[in-house]
Amino acid sequence: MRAADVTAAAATPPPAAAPAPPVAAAGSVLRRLTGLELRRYARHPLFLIGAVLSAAVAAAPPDHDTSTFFNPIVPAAALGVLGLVATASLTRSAQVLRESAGAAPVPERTQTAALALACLLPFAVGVAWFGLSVWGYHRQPPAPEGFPFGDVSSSWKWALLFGEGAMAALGGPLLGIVIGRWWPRRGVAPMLAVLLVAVVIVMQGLFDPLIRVRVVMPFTYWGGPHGDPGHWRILTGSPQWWVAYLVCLCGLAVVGALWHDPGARGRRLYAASLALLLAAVVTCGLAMFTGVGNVLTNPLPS
Amino acid sequence: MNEPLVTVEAVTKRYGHTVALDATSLTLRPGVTGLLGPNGAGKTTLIRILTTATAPSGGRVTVFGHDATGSLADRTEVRRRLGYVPQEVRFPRGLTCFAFVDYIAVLKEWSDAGRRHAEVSRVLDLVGLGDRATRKIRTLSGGQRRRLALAQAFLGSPRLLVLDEPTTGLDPEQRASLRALLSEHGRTATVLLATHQTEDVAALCERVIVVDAGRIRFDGTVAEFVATAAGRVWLGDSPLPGALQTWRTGTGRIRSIGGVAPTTPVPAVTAAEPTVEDAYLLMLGPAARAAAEVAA
Repeated sequence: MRAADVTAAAATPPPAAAPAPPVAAAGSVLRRLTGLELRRYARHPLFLIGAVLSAAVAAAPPDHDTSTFFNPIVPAAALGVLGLVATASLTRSAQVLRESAGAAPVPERTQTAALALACLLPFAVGVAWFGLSVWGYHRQPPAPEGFPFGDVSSSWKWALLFGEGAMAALGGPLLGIVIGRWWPRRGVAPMLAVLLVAVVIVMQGLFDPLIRVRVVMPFTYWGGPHGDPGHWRILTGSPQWWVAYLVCLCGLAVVGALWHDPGARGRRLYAASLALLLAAVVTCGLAMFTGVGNVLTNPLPS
Repeated sequence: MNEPLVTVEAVTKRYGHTVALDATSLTLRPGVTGLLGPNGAGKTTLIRILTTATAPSGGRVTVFGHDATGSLADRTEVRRRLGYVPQEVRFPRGLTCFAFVDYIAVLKEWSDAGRRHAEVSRVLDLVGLGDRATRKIRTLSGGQRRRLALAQAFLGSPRLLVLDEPTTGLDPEQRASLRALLSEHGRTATVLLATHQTEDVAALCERVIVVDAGRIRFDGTVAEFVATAAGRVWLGDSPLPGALQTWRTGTGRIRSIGGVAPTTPVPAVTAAEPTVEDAYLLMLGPAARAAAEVAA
């Protein structure tokens, strides 16, 4: 018996380096992973449900009073909220795959980046929905007593539709990746989705004291019926800057998800998060205090 | 071919006040090495350090000339060269066998689709799942899932293959197939096999390392390990007085390991050929531990 506690490692000759397997360029691996994640996303039942619901709403005739301006709730819920749950689940399973490999040379951040790029799929559906909504608006604009009214600019209208619909279809899934990375337990994502919806309901401009600050939310309304008999109102703020703020939030979500990988926490990511945070604060402030200064009420009853 | 590919130098791992590995040193060369030890002995900790999944509290690990405890670039180089089957492998829902291995192949930097798909098909064939490539993982049996976990480790025929209890859940035929696969792989590569199955070690390994309480208790050939039990295993009609472990065998005779050898020939008691399990029980079995504690 060799009651060996120790093999004299120091005495052994230096090992020869084994030939490495063909190493792919980082960009090439990211492309492949993004392709795989896109495929997984496209097959996710929640995405399919969301895409069908969004298509159904886009195909429906515009409303007499509001044309397509109150339709964004559908892609926001179906692609955004359901997308949040879907990507949280995809992120969890991506981690399971990573753990199955034991120790993979491709870092977690590449996988996270691929998941984030896969969110361009629901965003593309959201953008298509936006295009159809603009077309629907031109086909049947709202009645004079409806919403929007007066001389709000075209960019105001398109920013509203884009922010509430297309950006929600991107932001929800990106938030799902953050949840999947940091709180990978099953059930957390649906719970947080319900919480998010609850907060959004409170912050959609129903309560006058919250009208100005409501733009901090990733989804909010920019008008609505008010009083009896009802008159449509346009709420304060700038949807154009709000879209810029949402872009910053999306960027922060990506940074937040990447931050989970200790290897990713370099100077560049730190600088990017600070820049995005600063930009988010500035654009949120601009969304709050520029654009429509006071609540406007349509003089015509709806 | 015979130079060490893996060198572990005075590696220690602490979890709070618990020492999981205590100044452990070893080297690994091509061939199949068994890593034996009870639960909590430090086998998985050692494996996780070797495969860069966990950083040690102290010491150094070199794999193929790269510092497995060093920079991220070094650790990545190590990861490029190893296949690893963790003790517990979970599978995501909804994936097919092919999609599962294909995804992991991309994580292992197989980016060329044609070559990757050919390699995925090869490893699935290797573990006998080629005909189930398009089946959903949820439809597989436990043994098939275990083989699927093994398949990913063979991607690229790594020169270091680390398997943490790979035969759990496999039926005898599957275990025999796996042994054939590992012995073939071990002809050119370094295979480290952590297991509780002493028969796998006996059937497959050239060398065995026994770990207990974070320390290496034995490091040598399997024959040397079995020899530690020579003359201490008996077959008789009744338990041998003072035996550390006894049980009735299928033939109805009592197998006694350890204890006091008969000073005079007893017709009913005969010396038995020791096995790896006998040697293991003599070294680390509960009775051996209790005896050691009493002696201490």
